[in-house]
Amino acid sequence: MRLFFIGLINLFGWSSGLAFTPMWPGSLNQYPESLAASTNQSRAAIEPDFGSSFPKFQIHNPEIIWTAKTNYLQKPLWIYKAMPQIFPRSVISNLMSLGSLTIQDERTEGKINPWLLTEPLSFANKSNTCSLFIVPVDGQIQYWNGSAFPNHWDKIKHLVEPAVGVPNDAKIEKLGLKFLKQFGIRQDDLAQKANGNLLTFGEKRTRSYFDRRRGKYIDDEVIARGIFFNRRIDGINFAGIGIDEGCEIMYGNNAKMAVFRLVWRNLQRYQQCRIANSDEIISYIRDGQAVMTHKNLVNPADIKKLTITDCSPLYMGADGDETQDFVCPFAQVEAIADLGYTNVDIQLYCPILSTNRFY
Amino acid sequence: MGCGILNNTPYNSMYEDGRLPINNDLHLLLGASTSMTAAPTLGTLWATNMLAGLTVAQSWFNAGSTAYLSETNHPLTIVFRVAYWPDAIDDHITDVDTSPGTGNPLDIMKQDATVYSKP
Repeated sequence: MRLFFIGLINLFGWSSGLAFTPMWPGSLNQYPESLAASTNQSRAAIEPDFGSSFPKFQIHNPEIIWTAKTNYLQKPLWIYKAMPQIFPRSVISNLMSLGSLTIQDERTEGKINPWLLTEPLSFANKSNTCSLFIVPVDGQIQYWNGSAFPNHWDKIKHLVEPAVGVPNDAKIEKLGLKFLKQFGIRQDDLAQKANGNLLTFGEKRTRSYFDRRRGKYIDDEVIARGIFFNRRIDGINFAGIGIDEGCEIMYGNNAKMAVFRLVWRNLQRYQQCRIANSDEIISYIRDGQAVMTHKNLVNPADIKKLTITDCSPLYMGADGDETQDFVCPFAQVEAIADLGYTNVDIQLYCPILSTNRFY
Repeated sequence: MGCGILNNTPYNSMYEDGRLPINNDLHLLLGASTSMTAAPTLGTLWATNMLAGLTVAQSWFNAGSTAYLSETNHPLTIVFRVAYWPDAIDDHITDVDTSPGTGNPLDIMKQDATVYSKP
């Protein structure tokens, strides 16, 4: 059976253009009937849990003034249900070949038949320098190839492997977008800034060492560069910097892929919801349902007056190790906190769906 | 773990004087060269990555870039750092029986990874 599958992988190799089901949600009438929302689903079970990463925003009844635009209130938003993601075989085949992984490197344990592609799949080579994990239920792929980093050390001559051909920042974005096309992920599916440019986050890996070849200390030599892309759906970005629904791609020596981490759940439209108006958002804040991000931290109890200057929707994802049933929008609120002696720009995450949210 | 425990200024000073707290048996010294925040999932992620087969250093970097990603406008750029003997950078959690040091403090290296950056 497995040999047959390997044959399939080879047959539908990387460049074969194998057709597959798109991973972005279809139009309204494409979602299965079984996903039609039940309006008695509890709000707490669906709406985003801001978790323990953010301080609670509990205030002592300050004056709250709303000066933000309210355009966003006119457009209903969707709650999505996260379904297992079936990654194309051609993609899995390509990732295996990138890391020179073979069927002998498969280490999936305790599964009935991981090759159905609905079950987790795991590979690692014998030297543990390359691994690949695929978890369809969470839409997750993790690929790591340690040999892409120039880490080899010559024990005899005490020479370190040189860094060669690491792509620059401009090239990284192009390489990343090209790679994501293999998954059917287009530029329109990625988070954008207000000006329409892609919202990306760069990363780099550097090293510092004494180079015996050159007889001098080399400081901050770039050995790998990477980029994070966030996902976007219905024109609304996901929060975060990438793999809470998005991806990270890093390239090392000679533009060899070192890290690829993707979280891209199969999202199906579940329930269209009415958005809270400004009074409701203010009541959520007063009720302590908001949290404060780390943009600037203040003691909420010290706030004398809060001026809300912007309010926009985001979707809340989750990292690939966390099973997420529903993907729900929330509000990112920009505000000025008047502490009496100074003003501080703060940012809140807050529920965005109306208490009367169902149509 | 703490803010800037492997900050450039003291690190470079100690390196130049051969005073880094890295003896011949220490494989890797993990920390941050910048400020960092106590992300609640950092330790769990680091351990999970190591158990999943990543190297100790890569697990640390991966944990950082996962732990801080839930907000878009974090005010800091956070850089994680690993100082190491060259032979130890690819150590896995099971590599406990080797003596990685060359004994020459000049050979000690460091790697930095930006685990959170502004857009």
